Amino acid sequence: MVFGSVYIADSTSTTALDTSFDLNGSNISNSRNDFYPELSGQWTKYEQLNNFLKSNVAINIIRKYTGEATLSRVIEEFAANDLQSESGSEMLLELAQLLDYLGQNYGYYGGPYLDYVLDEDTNDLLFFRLIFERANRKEWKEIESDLISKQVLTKGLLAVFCLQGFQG
Amino acid sequence: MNRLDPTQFITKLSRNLDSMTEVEMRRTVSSLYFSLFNYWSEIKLCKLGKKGSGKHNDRFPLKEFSRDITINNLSMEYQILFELRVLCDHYTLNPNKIEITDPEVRRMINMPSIQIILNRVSLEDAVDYAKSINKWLKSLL
Repeated sequence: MVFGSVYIADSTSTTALDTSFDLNGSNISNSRNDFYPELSGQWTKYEQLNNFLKSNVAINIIRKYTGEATLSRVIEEFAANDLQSESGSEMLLELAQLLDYLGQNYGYYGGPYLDYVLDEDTNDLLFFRLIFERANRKEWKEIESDLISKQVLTKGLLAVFCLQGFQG
Repeated sequence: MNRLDPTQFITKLSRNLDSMTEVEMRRTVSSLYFSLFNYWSEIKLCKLGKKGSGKHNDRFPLKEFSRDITINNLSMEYQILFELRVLCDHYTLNPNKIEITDPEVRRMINMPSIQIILNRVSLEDAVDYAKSINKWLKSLL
């Protein structure tokens, strides 16, 4: 997934084993295992390594917008402590792309900065917020609508929060 | 399905905002928030057939409530109501301050904390935003 001019190297451009198949397609991976069962272990390791590398790329981008406390919450929530999982790495990539997209398109509002909100009663994580400093409530709604239209995997986990708008 | 519908409750509250003491304002914001949460959980359980936890599967976490609202483009309304409710239920001073949770992010931005105040204006906002969230909840029926 690519937003605006943001580009993150995806698995299809990697050619460590074989350039003829799409690493994003699990069906293809299964059929390869059917044909070449002796390679299935190697294939799984390759997929894990590929997901791990994607996660690392995403984490380095996310780090520009936040601190270590939030980052560790993000990894815990999105990747469930497993940076080699496909779902975790895809969610991290989406968050990284969204942060870059919002920074390029709404950076003049002073943001985004990634933070998190806890439930005061239980200390559970409620959601992550993308903070902008200078947007009013009307602009807040615009950024929020744009964010929702671009989200696939992180829906409900990210909310825009505008400091100026909050104060009325 | 309308046993926990807060529409009448919100209307009654909105007619009495003028003469409220701070105690009444605090209880109003808190009850607005939880009346919406109760109605959402009733819709989840009885209309959508989703099971929660607990003996009768009728206990739902707040994070699911907040995430449901956020997906539906009401996160601004929700967060303003939520932060006011936190002030009303958990903190003594008014006005008060909301701090950014992550200490590194606090250092990155120019406004590491913002003022939150419970007064007639913010109470009206809370009622208006509760009405918006309630309207969305009714659309689920």
